[in-house]
Amino acid sequence: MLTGNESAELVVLSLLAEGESYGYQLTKDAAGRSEGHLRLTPGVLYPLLRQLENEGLITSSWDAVRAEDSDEGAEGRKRKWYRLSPKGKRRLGQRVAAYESLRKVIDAFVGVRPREEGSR
Amino acid sequence: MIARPGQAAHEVSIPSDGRSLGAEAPPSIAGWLHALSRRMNVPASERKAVCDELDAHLRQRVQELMLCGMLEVAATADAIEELGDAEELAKRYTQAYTHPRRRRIMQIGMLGIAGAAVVTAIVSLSGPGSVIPASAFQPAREEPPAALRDVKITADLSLRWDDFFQAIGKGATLPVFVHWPQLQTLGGSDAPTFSPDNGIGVDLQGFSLDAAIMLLNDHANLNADSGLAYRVQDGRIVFSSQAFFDRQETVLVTYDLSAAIAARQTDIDAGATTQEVVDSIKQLVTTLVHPELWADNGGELARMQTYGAKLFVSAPSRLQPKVQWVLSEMATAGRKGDAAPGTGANAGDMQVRVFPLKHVAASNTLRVIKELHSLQPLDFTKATSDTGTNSIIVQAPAELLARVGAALDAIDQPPAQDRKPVSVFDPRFQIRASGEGGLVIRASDGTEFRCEELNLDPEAGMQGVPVGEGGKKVPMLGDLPILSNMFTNRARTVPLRELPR
Repeated sequence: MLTGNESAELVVLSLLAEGESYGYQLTKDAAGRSEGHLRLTPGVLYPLLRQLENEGLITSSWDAVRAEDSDEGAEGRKRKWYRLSPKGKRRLGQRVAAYESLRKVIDAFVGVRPREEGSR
Repeated sequence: MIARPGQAAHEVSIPSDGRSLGAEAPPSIAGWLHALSRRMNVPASERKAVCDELDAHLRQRVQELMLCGMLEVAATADAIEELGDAEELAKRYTQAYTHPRRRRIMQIGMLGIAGAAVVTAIVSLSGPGSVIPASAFQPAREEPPAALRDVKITADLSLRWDDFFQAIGKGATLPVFVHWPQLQTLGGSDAPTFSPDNGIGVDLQGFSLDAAIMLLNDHANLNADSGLAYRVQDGRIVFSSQAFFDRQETVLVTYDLSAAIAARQTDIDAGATTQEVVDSIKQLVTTLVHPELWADNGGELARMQTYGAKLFVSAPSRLQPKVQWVLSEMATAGRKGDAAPGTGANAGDMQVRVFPLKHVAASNTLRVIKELHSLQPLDFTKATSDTGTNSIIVQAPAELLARVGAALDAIDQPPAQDRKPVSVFDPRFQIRASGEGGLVIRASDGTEFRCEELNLDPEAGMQGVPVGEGGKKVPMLGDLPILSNMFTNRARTVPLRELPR
């Protein structure tokens, strides 16, 4: 069973499992990956990152914005980068397993109805 | 808070469309961050880190919107609006910082799956039932002697922690042992709060040790699960972290799941395997009972394994009664009287209902409603709070559940705007009507202040709204009988004329 908060956590941990990232990029990646269906709003994302860091699931460090990946005017400013910790990797595995079991349960219901209707 | 006219100059005012600013001041990122910073109840270093990160976010967003053709003022307004209300965001940050392992900040339900609703559906069981632990191994826990229970602590906020602990030992005539290494890691900060030479940071006036520790943890932004705790062991008072004692008090208990599995026979008949049923039972327990502590959720203090129909739970002893309660409720699933909460059952039938709370903490709220006169017929051994979903779960007849719902509706209110709250926390304070209007609260130290009204806020205890600027903050413990009277009147804000004199 995954609640909304666990789902948000799953999304963030999954994105960070692919490599270090920062808040703004995470909102972009979440929207891009879901073709715009998932909006990870900054008002939700940043407190969540704070919480995950407190729990030791992610680590962070400040780094200057690099010239090669900055927009005009952003160069030289600081940016907070997040990375998945070993504990976060374990949590992600548990969240994925929970999601898979939830999906199986839902599939059992979603998949049954059309077949029953078709057989009548 | 980003859009209220008449606020201080450093707070910004943003029109609802974020673009047609007209004669109003343009939105300012710095002003908004300042407003957010002022509302966050976290250490200064943390506030700065949050503001730096949000500043970087906002500036990048503004830049992007401008690249799309928007003017800077409108882009700034849009970017700020996307972050939402500063007060709400500050609250989420404070919660994330104060309760690092709780999931309360996510009550927003970003993906549309309301956690509490899912829990409600699963906990819709009814009827009495019990699952007795099959066996248990539990180390004995020494009860605090009367001398320690009777200690009243009065201390200045600059008192050193080491002197504080030693003074308690002297007052209770017991030797003291302090686990400094454990305490110095609390909060995960580089500058530990609990250090021998640091000041305790809170003025204490005649507090019991339990009440003092609650206040001190709160001041350090720690909760009862993660903060300072004490035990009496071998005739000594031992101060350490709650996690340390949890590890000491971990007990292994086995529960017989036969009844809970049998209650799901219809699912098994429909094709579910027994293992799937057992897995769903385990998942419900780890979701409802201190979710952050279970290894399955990334925690370190609680584990469970099944062997056949037996569930082995290794967890701090304080968790075991909750595990037992959840399992006993599951054991009754499918029996006569099963119904969704509040529907279909006779008034006299026991039902279970989950009350998700939005604005107040479930654990504190449960303590408050236990004292309400109107709810005294309720068997509170059948009520529990779940911090994971910030819900109160109650088993009771429908009529009583309705009363609980009404009481919780009255409590679960957003904090009043534009009011300067004053915490009132002393069981010994006195309330009387003031001749000048309002009421006067007299604290244990003789301090008096006048309020226009009192508000119920289980998280903070009770709050008064001071008249003018003269209100003095008086840290004390909640007075529950007064709250009861207020509830009997079914009013959250109690007009003064209705208060007992």
